[in-house]
Amino acid sequence: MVKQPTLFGICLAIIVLSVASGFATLVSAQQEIRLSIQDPPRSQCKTYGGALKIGIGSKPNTLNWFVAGSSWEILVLTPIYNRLVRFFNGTLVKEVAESIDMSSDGKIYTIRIVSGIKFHDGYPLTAEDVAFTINMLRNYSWAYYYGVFRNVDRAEAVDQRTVKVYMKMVDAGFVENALSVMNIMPKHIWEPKFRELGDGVAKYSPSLKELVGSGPFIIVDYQPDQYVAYKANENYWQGRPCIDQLVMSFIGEASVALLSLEKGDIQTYSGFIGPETAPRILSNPNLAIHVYQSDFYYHWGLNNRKWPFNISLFRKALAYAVDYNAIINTLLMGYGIQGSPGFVPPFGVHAKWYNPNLKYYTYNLTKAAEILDQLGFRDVDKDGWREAPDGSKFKFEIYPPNYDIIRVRAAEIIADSLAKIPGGGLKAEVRVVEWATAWSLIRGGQVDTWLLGSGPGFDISWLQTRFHSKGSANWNRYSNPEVDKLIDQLVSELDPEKRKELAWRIQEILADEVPAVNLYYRKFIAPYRLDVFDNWVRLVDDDLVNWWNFLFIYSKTGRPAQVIKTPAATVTATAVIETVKTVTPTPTQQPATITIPQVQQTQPALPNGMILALIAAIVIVAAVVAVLVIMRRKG
Amino acid sequence: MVWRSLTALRSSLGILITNKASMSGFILLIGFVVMALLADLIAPYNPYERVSQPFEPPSGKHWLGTDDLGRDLFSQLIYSARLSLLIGFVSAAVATIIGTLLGLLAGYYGGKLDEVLMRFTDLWLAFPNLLLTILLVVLFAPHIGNRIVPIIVAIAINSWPSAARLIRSAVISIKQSPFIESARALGASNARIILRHILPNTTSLIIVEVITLMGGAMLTEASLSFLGLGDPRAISWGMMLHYALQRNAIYLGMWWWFLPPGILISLTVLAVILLGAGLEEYFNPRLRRRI
Amino acid sequence: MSTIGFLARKILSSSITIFAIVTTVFFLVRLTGDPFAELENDPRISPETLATLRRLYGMDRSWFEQYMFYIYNMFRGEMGYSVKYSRPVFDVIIERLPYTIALLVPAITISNYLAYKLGVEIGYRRGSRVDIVVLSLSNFLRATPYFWLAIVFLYIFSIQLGAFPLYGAISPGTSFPSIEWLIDYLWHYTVPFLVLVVRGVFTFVLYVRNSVIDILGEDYVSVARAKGLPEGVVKSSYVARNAMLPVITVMGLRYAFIIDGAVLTETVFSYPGTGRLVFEAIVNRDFWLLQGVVLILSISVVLANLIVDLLYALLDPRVRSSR
Repeated sequence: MVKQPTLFGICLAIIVLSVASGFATLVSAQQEIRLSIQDPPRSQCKTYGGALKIGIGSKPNTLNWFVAGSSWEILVLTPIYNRLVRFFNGTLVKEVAESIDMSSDGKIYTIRIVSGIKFHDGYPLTAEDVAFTINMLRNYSWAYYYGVFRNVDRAEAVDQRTVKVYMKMVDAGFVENALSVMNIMPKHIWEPKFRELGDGVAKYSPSLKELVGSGPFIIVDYQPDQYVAYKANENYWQGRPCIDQLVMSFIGEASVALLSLEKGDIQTYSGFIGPETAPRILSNPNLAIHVYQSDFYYHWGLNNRKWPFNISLFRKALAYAVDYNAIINTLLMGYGIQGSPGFVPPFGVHAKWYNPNLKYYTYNLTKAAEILDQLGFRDVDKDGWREAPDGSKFKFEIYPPNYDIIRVRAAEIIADSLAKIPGGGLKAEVRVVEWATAWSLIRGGQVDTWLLGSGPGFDISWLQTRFHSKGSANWNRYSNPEVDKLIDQLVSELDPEKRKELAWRIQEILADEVPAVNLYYRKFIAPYRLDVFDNWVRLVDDDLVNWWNFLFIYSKTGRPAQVIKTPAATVTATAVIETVKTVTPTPTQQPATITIPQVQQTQPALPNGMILALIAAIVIVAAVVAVLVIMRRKG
Repeated sequence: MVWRSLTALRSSLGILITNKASMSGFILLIGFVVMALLADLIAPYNPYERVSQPFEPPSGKHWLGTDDLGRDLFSQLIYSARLSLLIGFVSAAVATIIGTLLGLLAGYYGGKLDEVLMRFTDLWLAFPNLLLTILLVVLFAPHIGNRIVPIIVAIAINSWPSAARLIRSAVISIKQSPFIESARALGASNARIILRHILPNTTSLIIVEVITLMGGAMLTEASLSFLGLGDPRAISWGMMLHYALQRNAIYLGMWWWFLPPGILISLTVLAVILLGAGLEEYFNPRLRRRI
Repeated sequence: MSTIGFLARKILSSSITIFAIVTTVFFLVRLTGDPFAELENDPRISPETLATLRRLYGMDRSWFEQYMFYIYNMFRGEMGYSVKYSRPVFDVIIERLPYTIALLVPAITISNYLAYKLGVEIGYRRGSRVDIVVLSLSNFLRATPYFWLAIVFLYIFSIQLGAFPLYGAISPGTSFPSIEWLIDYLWHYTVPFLVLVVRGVFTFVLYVRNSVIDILGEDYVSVARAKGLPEGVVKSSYVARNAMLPVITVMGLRYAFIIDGAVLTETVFSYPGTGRLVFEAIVNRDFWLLQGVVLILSISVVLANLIVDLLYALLDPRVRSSR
């Protein structure tokens, strides 16, 4: 028979081709990138037992994680929940997420979670819980993390162990900004609540029984304004924590906290401790200090829409007029470094974005005078103060908030230096207001300048909120179309190398235009006791009240733990990463010898002081009675 | 009128000499006023200027050491007298002026005005003052330049009712006096009677009231500063205490920072109390009916 | 009969007073700003979140609307929601109220009683050494700022002697109804209580003393003595009893005074009471919470004064017979 290309053959070919191409597109769409995330650190418990009591600087106002916004509230809820991924020393490590894949167009994330995790009440943790949490954060705009999850369209649990997250828009920082902060909430507890109360969950206060999570600790007691107490979750899936109990006490006054620390009442304190206390703390052989670098950039915010702060040269003059040395060395006593003029911190998780070629501003009053002269701000009437170019009297205000004494003092230092500009000073009035007032003033855009501390986000896209003309937290009202364009590209670009280039360029422009004068990054002091607990995890970017410490710290007087034969790497002690030359003596004290302590009782059943007190009370009462009796007799 | 006030003043001074307690109070108060006025001469340094290392203990160069910015604490202590006395006096004076005005009107005219005033002062006096003052300071602070004016206004608003009450009772009893009757019979207008006859007789009361309120005003200013509501650029004893506590002076055992301001506040208020009590005792038999 | 009428009138005028206070605070506080203001520095908070929060807490409506809503709810017994605590105002207050009441009521009672007793004795011994000592102490303590006294007490008892705790009302680990809990609670309670009592006694004793001196100068005392009654009887039946009247009239004011003391004491000792709560509510612009606390405060002040008036009416025969 003669073989002709039959109709059948052609149809078959077409069918095969289309199926093949269909397959091809299917395959290319499924071309997923596995995000490289490290394994979490592990540590062996040398002993079990002990009650770790720590002090924190303020109290949480709510235990409802969906609305919890202050760092203290988040801190208090940390021990009881798990997350998909978490930051450890600036690197992302896995936790509940076994793997995260991202589609090549960045719009679909496939998360595979570890199996066998159980909540405190026995229910299993599944992909349903993960999807539920993401969806709640997405759907309820009052949730604290709503803004961070805004680019998510929806999350779906494909099976017990897989979650697919569909994005509305590409969000290059999704994993780092959103997934790393999300606690996985139990669906079986919260879904009924949402169904019943809807928006009312925003005002709902969960009972202790509802504060169920999968984390290493279980809440046992909460006394409002006083403390939260936890006990160890013995069945914790990553291995139980070494300590038996954990207590977080709220101590507002640093002085009181430090005294409690010296007494042995608390083991460490997380709060604002002034650098002046360091020498005394160090003089105590049982205490040590962990110094860590905060990435908050404390800056002199300038209202870019108000004259003369809309002139970038004027702003530059201000940058030259700040006595950085006085602020870092006198005020912060060496516990800080000068702020980067590009605002991106040179350390920690931001180091990879930092542009090292930036030229830092120095305290140069002559230069400031030159620029001011050039702009027309001269002292025409020779009263010691410079007038505006049109001859009218000129003065402006600096608003530091009252709750941070360092910033109040910094404002005073700045005003003092401004007054000393040769050829006539600039008159600056320091107006201290309290927090809520400061906010409405800054937000209202009516004030000249202020001192603010702002936190950069984990991913470099945080520049958008601060320096994009449409940024939601661009209080300086800085607007530069070129920067806007660069930032837009930064947010949607997925290639890390290209992103770095963009980030460097943006920092250059910011350093030149000075939307705000970046003053300092602080080094905070976290004091702790050496004698009762060991294996303190000292992070680069945080104090000692952190997730890793809760898990790994063990009591020196606990009962010996069974040795588990896993090749576990012990948690490495970390050093402070500094890429910028500092003027600080780093007063970190390494524990030289471990002394065997007397057992410190953190909750004495009948304190010795108590007995003294009872005796004192009886004596006082007796004395008063005696006096009255005597007076009656004589009268 | 001026003559009457001077006579009242003279008799007050006369009492002072005889009453030991009020005498000592008077001397003490004069001492503090002198300290405030001559601060420039007495204080070794400019309290606003950074002159040394911060947190220095007392030494020959700095009698009370230095604060957290390296400014001399002894100089700050001296200069503080100014603001503390100023706030105390002005608040008390403003409160007394308002109270006197309202008390005069209410006491003289009586009727509805009097009732309303009495009701108002009743509830005012019964309400915790500090809370109201805090609220007013927080309310007024951002709209006016610095903190000092809001603090004065807030304290004055809180204190005028007691002055009003006092003057009102005085006016009521003076109203009954025969010479008032005769003045009215002679056809004097109400305004004339109030200004020329009643007011001068209350002068001594006014003086006592200002002095009495001054003590409370200074304590309130100290409390407000302690709570963090004071003017942080201001140098006052209350603010010195605030900074001492904020900078861990208790923990660091820097008694030279947190003890002297507290002691001086107490001494000044004590001076004012003694003085006021002495004067009041003099006027006691005549117009004791306060409540 | 007339006592009830008297009571009824008092209650009516007190209600009006409370209403006036609450209304004033309502509008006053809204002038001071926005409770959500500080959330704005947080870049994680999106504008939609703020808008929703404002709506949820009723801040998006006009003041007048909010006011009507508030009054309506007040009669239903609902006090609104605290923005800072994200829960009902009532819950927030009720958690802290017991601590403050437990501190204040015994402190007022004991300090008033002690001041009364001491004042009578001192009034009798005018000019003696005891009198001078008490007078000096009294003047000095009155001159000392409240918080300074609290700090000195904290320093002496908790820091130097180390015999008392530095903060809080109870220690973690003690369970509620047990002897251990009670002892721990009293241990934390002692020093703040002492501060309130010491200040209370010495500021009040002067007033009692002066009243006693006045009374001793009255004719009926001389008459009683002339009648030959023993001094002890004169003292207890005439002087002391009559001294009670002016003391009671001022007690209403002292109640307000001690609330101020509670605010400062609770701050220094980190005691979780309502005093500190009011301060926070003002500073945080937590409107509903502030209104709730002011309401409760006003009611308690009015109640205290009412009780005082009643006591006075019962005790003073002149008042009674005039009906």
